[in-house]
Amino acid sequence: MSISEASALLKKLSSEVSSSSASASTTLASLKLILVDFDSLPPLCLPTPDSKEEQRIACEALELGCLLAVKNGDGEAFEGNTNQLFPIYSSCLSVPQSANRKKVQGLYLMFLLVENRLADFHSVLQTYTAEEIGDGRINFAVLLERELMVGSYDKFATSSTSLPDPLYQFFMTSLLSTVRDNVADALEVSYESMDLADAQRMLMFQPNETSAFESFVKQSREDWMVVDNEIKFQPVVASNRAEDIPSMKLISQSLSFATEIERIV
Amino acid sequence: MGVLRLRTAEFVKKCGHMFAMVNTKSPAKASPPPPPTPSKDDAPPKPPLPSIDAAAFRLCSLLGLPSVDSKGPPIKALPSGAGRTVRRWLSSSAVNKCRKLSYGNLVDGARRVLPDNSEITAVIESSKPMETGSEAPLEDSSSCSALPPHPLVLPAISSWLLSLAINSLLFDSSDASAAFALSGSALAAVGKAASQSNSTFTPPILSPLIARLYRFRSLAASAASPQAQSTVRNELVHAHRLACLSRAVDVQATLLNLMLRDLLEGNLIDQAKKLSQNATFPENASNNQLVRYLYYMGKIQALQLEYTDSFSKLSQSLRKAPENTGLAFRVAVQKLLIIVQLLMGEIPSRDIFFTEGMRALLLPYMELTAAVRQGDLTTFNKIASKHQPTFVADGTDTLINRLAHNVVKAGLRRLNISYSRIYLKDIAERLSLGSAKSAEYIVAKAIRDGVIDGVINHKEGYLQSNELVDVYSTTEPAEALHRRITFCLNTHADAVKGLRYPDDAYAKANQKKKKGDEEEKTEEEIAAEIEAELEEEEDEF
Repeated sequence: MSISEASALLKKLSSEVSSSSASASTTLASLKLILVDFDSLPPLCLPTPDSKEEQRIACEALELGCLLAVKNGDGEAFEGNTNQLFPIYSSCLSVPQSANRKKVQGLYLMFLLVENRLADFHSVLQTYTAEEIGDGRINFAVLLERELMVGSYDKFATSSTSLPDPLYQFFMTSLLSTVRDNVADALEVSYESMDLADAQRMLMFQPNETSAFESFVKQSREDWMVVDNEIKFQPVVASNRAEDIPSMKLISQSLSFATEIERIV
Repeated sequence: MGVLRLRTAEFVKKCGHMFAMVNTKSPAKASPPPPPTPSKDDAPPKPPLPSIDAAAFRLCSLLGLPSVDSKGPPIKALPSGAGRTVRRWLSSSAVNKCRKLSYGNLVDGARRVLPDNSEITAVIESSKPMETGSEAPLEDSSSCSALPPHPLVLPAISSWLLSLAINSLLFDSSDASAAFALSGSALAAVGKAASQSNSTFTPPILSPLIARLYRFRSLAASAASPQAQSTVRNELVHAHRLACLSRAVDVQATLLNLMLRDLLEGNLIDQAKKLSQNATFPENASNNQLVRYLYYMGKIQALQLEYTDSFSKLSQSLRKAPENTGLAFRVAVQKLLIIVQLLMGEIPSRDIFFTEGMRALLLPYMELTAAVRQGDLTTFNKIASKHQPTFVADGTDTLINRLAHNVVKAGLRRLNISYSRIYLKDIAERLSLGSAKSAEYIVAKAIRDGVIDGVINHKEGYLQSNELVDVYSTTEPAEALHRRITFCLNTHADAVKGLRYPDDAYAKANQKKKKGDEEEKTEEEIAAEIEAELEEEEDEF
């Protein structure tokens, strides 16, 4: 009985998510309440007579929940839904592949990338099969991670124009600001000075976003000096003064050696 | 030896109830009907005992248990170090011989060694595989004149026979589901025997054997079916909890390793990490389990990007692994170690690729290392795709995918050292980075990460290397020296802490000291006497 109820709700939810209706989240909440009674889901994983159907409904509902969260730009809700969803993937192997599964898997990788949880990123990646990684939606995130690690940020700019799904835009926007910070950090130490126009290009601001660029420099990079259309990065002052000698540290080291040697002898 | 006996007796008095179960288990067996023993004298060319019987009696003699009919007070309990003795017995040659026995021989042996209508014999018999015709002939049991083994060791011997039976099903007849079923009933039978004693604790003599049963069960389950595996997962967790409570070190260590192995096999790295954080590995576990644990931990940490920790765990594991056996294990550790070292930005030394017996197996990894060292991305990709199947089979492919970034780093460092000034577009060309623009970003990031030292000139588009700084003008050498001295001091402290003295050494030293005092005294006395005599003589004058 509850299954028929659940599948009806699922249908309603899927239409609401595709039409971005505001009532989708309430439908999802009531559907989740029904899911709680399904014994075939983790952590119980009991072999109930309708287990296949129950697992399929649960997967699809939670996948829709993930997509909904991304649409609403709600990272927390997204993580909550994936935390419920991924145990089903790993413990109920007979669940049929749904249309949204790979999209959610790819989005989850993007989410971890944005949160800079690289260890989790790699352990989640480990659970994906080779066939799944080959899929464009998941592979996109994998390649992106590699580019960011190597530092070829220009490829990041090009890949943001060829998203596998419009939903990825949400994460790409948050990634862009992280990337921008990284680039700014790198510029600081590797250049002595740079033209404003070049810096704007390097920091991935469009030519018409000059005001945004200027406010970025003013707000987050206080120590950059703009002189005649050129940014001067503060050089690190190298000093060789007596205060640089870590005398206290050296004294404590020598004393610890002395006590240790005394103990041995 | 005398001291040991004495201490055993005290120990028995103290915790006699713990061992009582072994006695109550089979009261009937305590006085078995002596089998018709042909006198040993009139059978001069005595054929050797069947291997199972031989192994069983070896255990009895190792534990210092006489045969049942021997005179003297009956021994009521096992010596305190029984667990360790059993562990040693399990790795002896008499026991190893039995591994190759056929199932028929096992059933036969169980009938002989265990008392009649024993439950264990029934369990073993019930899962005897179908006759295949090419059955190995039964061992000659005509010489089985000896008495049944001492009742105290019967629980150990029956669980050992069960483990042999599972081993035979799993590896000889490769019937994983039968082995899985048998392992279930085996553990149930052993547990039932233990519960009859009103004690929930695993007796120390059984600990290594139960650990072995669980190991076979887990192996059989992973070979049998995913359903079996998920049931075993719960069972292992439960058993691990019990083992922790009863401080059965062998069981605890084995089960923890089995759970880690199971999780890693299912690629559940996150769960494996959480498990390792919440469960402690027992300190005095056997070396083999420790080596395995270190390997699993190293693997988890490598996948979680904690390369330095992983490196130390893996190298420790490799160093502690037995040198003459377990080649496959050492190769697996070595492979992972090479990758982790590369990921750390180090190049493994060349001689490890030429270790005895590993050369062919490590060849793909050597080519990979060479590519990383050259810093050539195209060669690297070519080799990675060429050996892709090997790497996937070894489970190192995901780690190797992460290496691309180190290849670029190594290449950049080489260019940075060799050129004082180089155009970005040349860098892009040499390292096959695509475009000068992307090279510029990569170089900038490398400078920030401290991989190379230089300044980019954006207008002219070149990278200018900085002059090398004189290291000796910095505090770097002092710090390096400090690190090394601390290491030496720690080693010394550990060595002092690790010193062990025999239990009675202190008493002996005391005795010696006393004796020495006495001798000194006598010397003093002699001196005093002589002086007195001299004085007397002087007085006489």
